[in-house]
Amino acid sequence: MSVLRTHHLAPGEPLIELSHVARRFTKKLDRGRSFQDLFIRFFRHPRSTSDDFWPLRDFSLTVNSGDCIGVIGPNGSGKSTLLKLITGILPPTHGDVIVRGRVSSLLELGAGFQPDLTGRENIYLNGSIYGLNHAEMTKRLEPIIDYAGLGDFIDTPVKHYSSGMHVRLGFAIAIHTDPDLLLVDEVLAVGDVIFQNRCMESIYRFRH
Amino acid sequence: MAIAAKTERFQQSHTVFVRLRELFRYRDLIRNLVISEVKTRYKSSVLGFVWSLLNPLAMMLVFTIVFGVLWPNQTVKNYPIFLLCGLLPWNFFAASVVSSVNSVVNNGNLIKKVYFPREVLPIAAVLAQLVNFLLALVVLFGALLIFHTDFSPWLWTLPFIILIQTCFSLGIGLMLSTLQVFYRDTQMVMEVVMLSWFFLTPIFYRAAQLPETYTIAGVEVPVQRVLYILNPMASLINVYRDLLYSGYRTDIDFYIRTIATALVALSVGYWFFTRYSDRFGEEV
Repeated sequence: MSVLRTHHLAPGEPLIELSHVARRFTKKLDRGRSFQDLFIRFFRHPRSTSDDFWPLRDFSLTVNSGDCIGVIGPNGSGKSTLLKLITGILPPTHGDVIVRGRVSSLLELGAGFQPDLTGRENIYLNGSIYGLNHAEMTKRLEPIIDYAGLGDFIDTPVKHYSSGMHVRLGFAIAIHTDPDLLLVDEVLAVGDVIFQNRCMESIYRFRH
Repeated sequence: MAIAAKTERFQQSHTVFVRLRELFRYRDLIRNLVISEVKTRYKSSVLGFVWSLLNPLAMMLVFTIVFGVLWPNQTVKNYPIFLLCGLLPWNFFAASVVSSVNSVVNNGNLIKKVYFPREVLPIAAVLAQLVNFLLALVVLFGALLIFHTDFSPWLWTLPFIILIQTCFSLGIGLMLSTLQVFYRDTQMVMEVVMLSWFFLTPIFYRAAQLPETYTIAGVEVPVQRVLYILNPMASLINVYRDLLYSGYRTDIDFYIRTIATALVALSVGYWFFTRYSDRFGEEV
């Protein structure tokens, strides 16, 4: 198992290279570390290895700059796991992962929002979670506020935002980080129709 | 496989270096987390930041009443100042440990959604406490001027001492925050340990008030020496007190010992944290 992540694009090299990647989960994640669990297990049959669950097995994928790839499948087929392997949230159990360039993920919008801080303060905080520094965020501040369409609410603590405003701000930040690689999960199912259209537009523009 | 060869070559020579460079890239995240922690800590409280001063002042009052009035066997001059010089650094240490223990677990939601170097979290937790400590230190200096204690000519080493203590706290914090992810008992054990540690550190008493030696099972134990060697916080607090309260030049071996301890704690903590931080995404 090996993982290589660089923040710089290498011209001519693919953005993502996954080779023979596999990821194992244990169905009963709570593996009973307490004495109580150990005691109970003492009187039970030992668990079999069928507890293992492999959403991804021997999975290889190469994504080049300009590619737009959709992954479809039923619940539990490993779509989110794949995205988590690419972002680096989870390490692969087997196989190699190479990711080049800056990754921005819309796995959950506004995941890093601090409810007590204002929208503006959260833009800086969220930007730094994506790996952007203060100056880079200052440059993007106005476009983000415009895009999110929050107006005066930008200086209101985020805990008072409606869920739509929350998502709009989250999306606005993520799309303005100018990622080399944009990962989108099912998050766009939220927000009203007008905003959804705007999101799709941005994503189409991102492709070009 | 070509990719495997590429990544392996990359990993072998660069792991620690790459991690540290990535951490440096995320320095603005640390900064923003510290700011947000300091800003939101006293949100919707009337007294706000004053609380971080009132807390040690209240403790100072309690100890002064107990050891000055109720049980007046103190021979320490300016007891309230003597106490504060030990209590503030201790509070910084204790608060750093307590807040970093939960720093990873409390941000589980973030860890599951976004990638960033996980060590950012305990680092920010400790640095937020450092900001608090520095603010409290300003007030302490005011009190020192009023009570006319003797400043040491070695006062300029104070920032180094604070740096050493920060490294030591961070090392402990990195270790415990990792353990807390896998075993929530960590916090429970830690609460007891911190309380005992507080009493075993010369904060509200002088190390010199302890018996020089103590005989356990026929073996003579040099209590004071053992205290300083086994308890890094005892050495640290002793240095703070030398600089701020007694106006001594601290023996050089205190500096060497604390630096060595802090570096060992930090490297072991960092190693331990990075060894397991890959698994935080599924365990938190």
